[in-house]
Amino acid sequence: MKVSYDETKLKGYIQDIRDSFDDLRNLRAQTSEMNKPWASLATKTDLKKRGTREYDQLFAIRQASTSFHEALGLAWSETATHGGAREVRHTVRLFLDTQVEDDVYMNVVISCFGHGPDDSFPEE
Amino acid sequence: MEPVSLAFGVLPVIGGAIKGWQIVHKKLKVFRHYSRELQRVQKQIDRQSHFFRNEIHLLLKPAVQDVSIIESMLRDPEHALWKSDEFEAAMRASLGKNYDACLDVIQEVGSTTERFQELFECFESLTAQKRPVGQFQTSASSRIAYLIRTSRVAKPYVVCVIG
Repeated sequence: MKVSYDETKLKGYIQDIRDSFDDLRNLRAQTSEMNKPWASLATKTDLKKRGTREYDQLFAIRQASTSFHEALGLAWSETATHGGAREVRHTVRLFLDTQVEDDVYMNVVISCFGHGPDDSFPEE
Repeated sequence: MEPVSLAFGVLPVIGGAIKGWQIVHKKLKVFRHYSRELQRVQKQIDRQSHFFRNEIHLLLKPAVQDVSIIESMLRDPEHALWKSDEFEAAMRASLGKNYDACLDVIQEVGSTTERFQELFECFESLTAQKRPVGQFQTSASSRIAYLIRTSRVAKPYVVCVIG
């Protein structure tokens, strides 16, 4: 009794299966990566390094921001008291975008409301 | 959720593919003793089947988490969870937008296992002789008379001659 099967087909089917497994493996790996929270993408060492660097930058930014605020406040109060003008009230908002390299670089936006004599400023 | 999946269930596709592998395995298991060629083929097929089970195991893991349940699902293509709406929802949540793509690939695997079955339909003629399987496996005269040739002139057909 003779039985026969096509070996070319067999090899082709096995290759098809392997290709499907590759696709499945890729999809699974991609799903796993996509479901990972951002923080877990970095290693602990990376996080530690990044944490230390960010802390150092935060310290430098805070120091620079405080100095900038004090300088503005000092300049304003000197203008108000020594300029002989009447004391004025105002609301100022500072927006800082910082970049830390060797020094702290700032892009600054200042918005000022209610600039005028004290009695002209509406009570809050 | 798509209406089609609600009506018929999509995950039975996986169970169907597992069943396909089981059928191919059984078919080759009966005749593998008759030649090294068939042993080699069965090993190749079984290896692919093993890879498939591993892939499905890893795919189910985030949704099922209980390894013993995954193992029982892999053993049983008719397992109730394959048709469970809750399980399907868990798989959709786990795979997100890759869910449909994964099922497409699994469906392809299922189709290929069907093609394997068709390829090995030649062995059906042997079982149709109503000779008990044990006779193939134990009869010394049959084993001695068995011959396998591979013709590679036009098309590489593997020819098994069982006397």
